[in-house]
Amino acid sequence: MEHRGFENRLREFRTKGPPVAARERLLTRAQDAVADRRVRQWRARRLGLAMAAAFAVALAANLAVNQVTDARIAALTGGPVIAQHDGAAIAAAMHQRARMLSMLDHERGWD
Amino acid sequence: VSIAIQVNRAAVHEARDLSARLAAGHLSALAALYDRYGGAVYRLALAIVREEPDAEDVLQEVFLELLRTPRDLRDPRAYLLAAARRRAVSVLRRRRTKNTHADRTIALLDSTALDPADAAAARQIEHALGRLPVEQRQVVVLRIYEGLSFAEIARIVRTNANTAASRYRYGIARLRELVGDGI
Repeated sequence: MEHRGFENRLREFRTKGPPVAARERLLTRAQDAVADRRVRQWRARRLGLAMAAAFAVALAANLAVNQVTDARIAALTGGPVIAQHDGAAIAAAMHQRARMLSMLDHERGWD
Repeated sequence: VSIAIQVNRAAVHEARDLSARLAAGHLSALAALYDRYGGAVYRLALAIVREEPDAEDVLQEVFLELLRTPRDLRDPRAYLLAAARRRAVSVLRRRRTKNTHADRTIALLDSTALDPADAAAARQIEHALGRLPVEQRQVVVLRIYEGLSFAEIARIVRTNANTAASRYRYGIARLRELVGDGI
């Protein structure tokens, strides 16, 4: 059976779109979703750096106990050589960790 | 043909640009996609779930999902419509377990500027559409009101073009039977 005329008649009617307020509702929710995503990314980054720094401190402590030189410890942990005794490299690594976390807090505007 | 290819390339390029901007969390990209495809997404969801609040929920979730899980949108319309269909069918499934909404008119047509006879015809069509099986309803709406080909519809409803065409033919025949020739 031929329905062409019927189909064309159906097409003559205009369709409705979503309610006008739906757009605003979507954009508000989207803004919240983007903010949440940024906070999640920032937390993941901070956690990653904190873990790396904690590892550096542990490594420094271990190396100090094993009487590796301060210069070598500093090179391994990425911290500066402060003094020629074992505790200095640990202090340097801890300082480095605090500096990284503070830098992140500053980026986030939480300091 | 060459103009069509150029237009298609531009559309693909634009879609990729939108994907990249979405991945970076630019809300203007989301707004642009919404302005272009929001209507079609909403209408397909409405054709499936039949209730306006549920259709709006589907619409919102489909677009928010794009922000939560950024993806490469080669064909944004196909992606969005397929996502809308998936979510709307899931709403329908949950609702069926509650055994409600057996027969409902679909508020799909804009009858604000119509004369009384056309407005009555629009109501008849909406009522008849609501009585079609959902598989036919979605195909009829995508074909008649979104102007999609059967191949495009098939990709969205996850079937083949022949089945889409057959569902359409059955749907139109049933619709005509329900509405009659009086519209």
